[in-house]
Amino acid sequence: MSVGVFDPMGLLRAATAELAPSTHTSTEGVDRVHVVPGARGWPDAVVSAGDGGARAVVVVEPAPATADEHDRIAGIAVPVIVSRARLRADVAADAAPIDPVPLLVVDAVAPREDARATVRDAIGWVRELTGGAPQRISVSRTGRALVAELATGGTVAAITLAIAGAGNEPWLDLVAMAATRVHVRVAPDLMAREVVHVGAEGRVVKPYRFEAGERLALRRALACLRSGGSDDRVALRSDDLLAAELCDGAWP
Amino acid sequence: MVWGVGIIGAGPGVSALHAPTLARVPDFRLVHVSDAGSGRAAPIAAAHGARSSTGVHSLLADAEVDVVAVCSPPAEHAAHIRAALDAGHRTIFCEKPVAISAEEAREVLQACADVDALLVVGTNHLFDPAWRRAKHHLDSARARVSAVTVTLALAPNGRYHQLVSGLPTAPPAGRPPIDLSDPDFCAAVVRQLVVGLAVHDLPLVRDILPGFEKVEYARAIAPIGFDLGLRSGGALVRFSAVMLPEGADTLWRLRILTAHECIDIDFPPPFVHAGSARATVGDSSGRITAFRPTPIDGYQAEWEALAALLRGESAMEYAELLADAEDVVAIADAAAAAVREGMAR
Repeated sequence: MSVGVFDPMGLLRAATAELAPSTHTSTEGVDRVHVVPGARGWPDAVVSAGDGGARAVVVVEPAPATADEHDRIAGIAVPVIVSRARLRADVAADAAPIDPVPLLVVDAVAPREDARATVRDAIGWVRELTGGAPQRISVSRTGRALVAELATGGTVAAITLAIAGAGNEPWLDLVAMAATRVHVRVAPDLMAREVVHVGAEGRVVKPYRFEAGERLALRRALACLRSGGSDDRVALRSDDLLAAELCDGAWP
Repeated sequence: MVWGVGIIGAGPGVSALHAPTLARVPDFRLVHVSDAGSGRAAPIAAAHGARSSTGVHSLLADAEVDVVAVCSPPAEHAAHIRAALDAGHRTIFCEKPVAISAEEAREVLQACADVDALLVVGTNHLFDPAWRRAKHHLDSARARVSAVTVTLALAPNGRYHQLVSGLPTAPPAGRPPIDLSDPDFCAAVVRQLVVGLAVHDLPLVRDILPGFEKVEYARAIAPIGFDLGLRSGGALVRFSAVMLPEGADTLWRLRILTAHECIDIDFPPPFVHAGSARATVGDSSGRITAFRPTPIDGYQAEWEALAALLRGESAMEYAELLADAEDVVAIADAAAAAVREGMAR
């Protein structure tokens, strides 16, 4: 049965069309998948969607949110799926390490206005590749950079963020150091999302994920509706709050 | 002129590194190798048509030795430099580090300066043509460095020894895995790794971010490695290294981040002779500029630098050598303290 997608801003219009006939565009909100743009204040829109009878919510590129905002959306009874261009679920799955990772390093670059969201995505990568929510050990900042030391289980992670000039687009580059290393490079504006496993036998470059991020998010929402599985709220909250702690107001 | 080289030391750094490198630099020929009693000098010398001995005296007295190369364990470097100077030698190549304490570095470098000795310290990455090219680009752009990251994932060196030496190399001394519960042991291991491993690239960091300020954090990483954050020249540096028992080839990358560019210098694994590092510059438009690598690597370049000194084409800069040595020791000591402090929390 086709699921209606209520998307007044048209952010998932192409994705809805690409998933037809599983999905169709709807002008009404009740019993539909609601699409919420991720501009500041998005949690209020998510709560409204839940109150308005949505079946599920897809948030597109959420801006950093506070603990209170995350508490508000925790209470809604419908799944919330998040589309994050720098942290796609399919690319993260491709990057899953096959050997124990004692040390994981993430280098990230972003202009000031995207710094905190980029740090949040770097944290998300640490979480995805280590299987646990990282904890802060230390953080150092200058006006132009941040280096944070995190720990998750048996892995130590180091995140370095450098502030880029205005007009630059964020990117992330990480190395999970293990007998079979995992290299990930994500630069959405350059359509770059590369995962390479480097081992004793050589390099294995994972197939490029051609699916649009928006279609992936909508498809994950549909899967969540079918299976009743967990959504993205807990992970996003964890990443957001740690990013706020690391940035400590230095960048938005 | 071809200068005769006498190498004090007979480990893999000699058999698989300097002996093959000297065969690439026509200004030098290996004439003498000495060990401390292991017997490893004889086969190396024989393979290269040189003499061998035990201890330093025969080597230092050898009339064909024009250049003394100090490739003994780091704790003996300063003493062997002094012995060479006392024996009248005035041209010395010393593997990094030149000394393991700041005081020792000051004393031995002053001793060299007092007699106008020529000294090259084997910081091969600093001599790598790709580093020089990247530094030139950075200087030309007059860009302010926001952060530097150094990422080392080291494969066992034995696989590289086999590619550059026909001599069997002794298996590495078994290193116990790091006991992450022992702060003093972790601190000692991290200090040793900074002096012996991070020393390859800390001079490069000082080259672009002079003025070491403080270690922000330091941690020992199992099985053998460290993660280090420091502040230098007003910017942050992340230095991470893990030595793994198997798996992928070595990754050795120094990355410089500015407001508009990312400069990556990817060094080849140690010991191999595969040309210079690969340097690339990525800018905000997505353009990537790759500087052409050269057949000459840092190992060859450091010996060519010594030849240039001998020919009078360049001048000694003792102050730079001292600053490099003092920085490494200061960072190593601060890192050890930070490890203890971090584990005490």
